[in-house]
Amino acid sequence: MSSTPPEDPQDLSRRGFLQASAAAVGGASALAAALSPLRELDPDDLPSIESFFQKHYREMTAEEREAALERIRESVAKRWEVEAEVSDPSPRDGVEFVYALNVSRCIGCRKCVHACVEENNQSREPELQYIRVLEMPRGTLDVEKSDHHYEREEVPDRGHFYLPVQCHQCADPPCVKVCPVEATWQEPDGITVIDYDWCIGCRYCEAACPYWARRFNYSKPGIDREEVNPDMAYLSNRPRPVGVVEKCTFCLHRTREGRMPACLEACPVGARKFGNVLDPQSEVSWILRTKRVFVLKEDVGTLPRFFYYFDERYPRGGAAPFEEKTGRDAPAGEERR
Amino acid sequence: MRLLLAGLWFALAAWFLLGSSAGREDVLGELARAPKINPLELSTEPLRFPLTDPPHLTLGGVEQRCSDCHDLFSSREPTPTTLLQHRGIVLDHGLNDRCYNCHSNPERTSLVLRDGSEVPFGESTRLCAQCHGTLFRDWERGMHGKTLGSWDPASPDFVRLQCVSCHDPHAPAFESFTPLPGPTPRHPRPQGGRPR
Repeated sequence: MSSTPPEDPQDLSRRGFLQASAAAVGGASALAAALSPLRELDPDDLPSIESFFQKHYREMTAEEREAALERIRESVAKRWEVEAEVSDPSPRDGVEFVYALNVSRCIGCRKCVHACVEENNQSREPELQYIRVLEMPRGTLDVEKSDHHYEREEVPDRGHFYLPVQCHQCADPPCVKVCPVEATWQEPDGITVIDYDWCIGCRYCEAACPYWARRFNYSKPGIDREEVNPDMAYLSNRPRPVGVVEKCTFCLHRTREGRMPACLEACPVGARKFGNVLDPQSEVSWILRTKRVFVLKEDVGTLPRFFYYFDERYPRGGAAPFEEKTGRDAPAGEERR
Repeated sequence: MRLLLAGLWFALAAWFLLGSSAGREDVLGELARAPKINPLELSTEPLRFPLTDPPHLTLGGVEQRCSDCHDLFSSREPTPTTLLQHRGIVLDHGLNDRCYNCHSNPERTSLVLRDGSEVPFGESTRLCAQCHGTLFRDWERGMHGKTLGSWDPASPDFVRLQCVSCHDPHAPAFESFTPLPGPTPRHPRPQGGRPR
């Protein structure tokens, strides 16, 4: 009967060696795997000391803001070799912006959608759009039954109407309430903005918005050099990093300088109206006083600053065909326009 | 036992190393098929450039005033017929189907109101207002039509386009438009149904 010799810690048995080396290899590869994202890291994506310690937009001094704008200019020049004019326009006193959209006129041509992408440096790859044009059957207002992927040879379609939806710049915005880091807030002129450098990408705001107005950058926004719009502002259309939320800002880099939003300028039928609701002579004030106006999802109580209105007429294309409205065949001679 | 654990670790590590980036590229490829934005489709110019005073046409490369011809040739009393001249004009304006409802008869460089008073081409809005009163009221307040330049009525850049900057006075109804491409569906459109 042989007894195993007492194990000497100094001795290295064959089994012990194999076990230890396998554990070492496994541990080393696990470490390598954990560090593997570093292989994809572009040194340009690393924040500088200054941008790492950049404060919240509203806590920055004037000099710190100017330095932040300069950093944006530099990063744009580095990435696209484009000389950007990065501004930071302040809200004007006595101005509260309101949008109005004439549902009787909108034809669903989607020019506003594309003009917005072009103006606001939105990602082309992957695709990201602020405005969603909903096509709905005439006589209904059920967004659940709407279709924003409609493909038609020609618009408007006689049986449908069109309801473009973008950020409604609510007076009681749920997206602002849910942000855990106060990266989004409402400005005095009514525009809800985002500090893209403060956003942590939790997407609570995206879930809270009843109008599906917010978009998340799942990957680094892809824009070609010739597509970059050099007219930028800190709170609106400057390039966004991956992992942050963005949305319509009523083109504040344009509108705070008195210009019109890009979607309005592109509208071929004049369905879009924009202005200062505190000015009784503004176009939107007249619309709110005299037209039949409604807001989307009034029952959720967010008090949108985006209003839809009607004219005293049938929408373009005339009344809906009789059989679509009633489900019956039209009687003889019933031909309406 | 420890060997088994180490092997598991090793396999896990290899999976992370080899599999981590391949899957992400597939997802991106799926999302990346967005149509190009065409700036030519997005002109912010008015749809039409109406005649300015004095009205003129370019014929054969030469600029002609209306009166250059119409002082020589008087036109027939108008009835709704096809014009032998001005063949580019299609008159499709509802009941308003006579040339001299809007154009002044001897004085061809101006338009005419119902009361016979003459209106220059640059003020054609007054002519439209005779029949389209409610629309004119809306247009005056900016509830109809298009405003460019500035949202502030007090701004010098504030420009409200005239009726004829968008509507062809001879055929005012808009043509149908071809819509620009919609957002790329994230999931294929189900048969006969709406995409999700």
